[in-house]
Amino acid sequence: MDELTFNFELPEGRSVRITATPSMMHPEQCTFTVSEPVYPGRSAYFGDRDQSRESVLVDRLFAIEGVADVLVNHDTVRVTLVGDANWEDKAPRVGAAIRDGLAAGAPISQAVTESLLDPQETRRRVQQVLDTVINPAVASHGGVVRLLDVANNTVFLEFGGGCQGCGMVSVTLKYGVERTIRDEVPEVGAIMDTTDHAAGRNPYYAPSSK
Amino acid sequence: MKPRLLLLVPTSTYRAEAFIRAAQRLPIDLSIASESPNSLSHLHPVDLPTFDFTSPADAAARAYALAKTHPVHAVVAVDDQATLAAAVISEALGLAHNPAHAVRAALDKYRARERMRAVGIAQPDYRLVSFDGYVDAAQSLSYPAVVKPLAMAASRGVVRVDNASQFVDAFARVASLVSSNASHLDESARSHLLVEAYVPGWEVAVEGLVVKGRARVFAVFDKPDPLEGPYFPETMYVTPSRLGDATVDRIVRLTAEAVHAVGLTHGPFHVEMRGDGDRLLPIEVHARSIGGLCSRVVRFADGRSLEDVILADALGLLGELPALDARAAGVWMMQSPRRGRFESMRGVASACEVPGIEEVIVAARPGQVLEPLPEGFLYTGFVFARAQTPDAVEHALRTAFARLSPVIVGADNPA
Repeated sequence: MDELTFNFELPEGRSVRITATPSMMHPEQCTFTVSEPVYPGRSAYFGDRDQSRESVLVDRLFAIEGVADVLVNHDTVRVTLVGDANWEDKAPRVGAAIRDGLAAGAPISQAVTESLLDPQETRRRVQQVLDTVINPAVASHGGVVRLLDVANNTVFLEFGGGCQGCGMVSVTLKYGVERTIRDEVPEVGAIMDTTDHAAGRNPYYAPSSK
Repeated sequence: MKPRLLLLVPTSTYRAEAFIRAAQRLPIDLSIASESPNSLSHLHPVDLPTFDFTSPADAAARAYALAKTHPVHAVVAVDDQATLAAAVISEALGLAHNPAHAVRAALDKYRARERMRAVGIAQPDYRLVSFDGYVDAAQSLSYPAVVKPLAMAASRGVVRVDNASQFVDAFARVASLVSSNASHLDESARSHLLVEAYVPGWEVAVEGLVVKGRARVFAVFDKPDPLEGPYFPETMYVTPSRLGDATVDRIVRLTAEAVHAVGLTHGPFHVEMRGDGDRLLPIEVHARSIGGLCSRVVRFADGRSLEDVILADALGLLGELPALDARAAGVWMMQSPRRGRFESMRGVASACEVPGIEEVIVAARPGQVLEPLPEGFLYTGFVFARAQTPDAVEHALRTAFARLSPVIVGADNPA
């Protein structure tokens, strides 16, 4: 599916334009850019419906079959599907959910906003997990994981040493680092790997056709 | 409860990320087993178990223990190193999979030839030659011939020889290569090489899936560069084939016969075939999909990747096999041109600007020591193209490749 644009009328004569852009690299993901802020100046990640805390937008989105996670960031909503990523079918329904959220006045509930850790606190707790649990373990492979930034509840990491360019880094990130951080700091949102893996000079596991 | 997939991922694979992305698109739980421990395995032993793929019985015992508390619904091996373990584990867990004897045959070029010959599939003349008998064998062979390890991939150790003297030199060289990589091989593969008649002509690679017991081909790749030896570097794959409908039909039929002859009953297969005039000969049959990062060239019309389809099939979620994307596609596998230490790849931005080029991936890491074939086992990079016709894809790949230049230093003494 190429880009799709929807126009919706909201109460009080407002109109909103939503543009759906499926990811080329990750066909299971589509980003919806909205002509007005959905969550002004903030970002929140929802890995399942239980994290909604009665947010209209999040409830509506998880009611759509196949929605796996939702990342709301100021004026964009990124939705990930499991199963058949048929965006021609799903994009209009996501657009309608965004419309419903905006029409309700507050797409993301106050309870969610209150549950978001202060970025400084998130940084402190994630850094503690890295220092006490993750880095002592990945050091056995000559690796290191650095915390670059926390923006709202999105965590930006960088892998170094034996992790940089390692053929198994996607396994370590998703099923090791990410799970460990979420176990210890459940409030964190998206966890992003910002590493330039192609520049890794000493990967612990190097891909080969051996 | 969501079904659990046990994915066997050798640490040397190029494809961990592709399979993990595909798994994340499915409503499943995932355990990722490797032969060496992940640095965080101790924190997540169910998600990241360690199995010794060279000891399938031991791997099966560990999988059985894991499945007692976390039932496993399908087992998928990512590369050749884990296909036998996947078969033995599946048997232990009572899951549908290729039988272990068939996977053993697919991992051993001699056994595969024997199985195909047994059902009447034409083969080049071939024989097994032992490490201590090759000098005597040299005089009784017909030339040109091809020397091959029984169990190596990506043309590693494959050498054409045109006379007895070349044969003796090549055999010693390949035997040395096998001996230095023999830890996971069985007795036959560590002490013998396959020697077969050189088959002139074109070569194709065939990709498919055994679905409900039937071998279904979804892509036939031309290899436009001549592969005449002395080494046989894989360079370019382009699909759909330009060999014509009648020839492609014959390739598809013979592929199915070869896959069934080897005994594969489930999952992906990758077949290499040579043709010369009316003659069509299977060269290799593997119980896995296309190697390296090349699977990115396979895209289905519904947007799914090859890994999506393999995992969905293993979990019984596939339904109908989707059609392949209608556009032509291709990949260039960049081999190391010489020994040395890789530093960088020049020309990537320029190569990406070539119309039709989708992606250029630099696979080698700065500082990695590279060797050319027949010993080499690292790709320096991969170039991917998609266009309306195979000719346009080939043109795009050649143009992009000409703009790429790996910087390799220290050729004299890279170690």
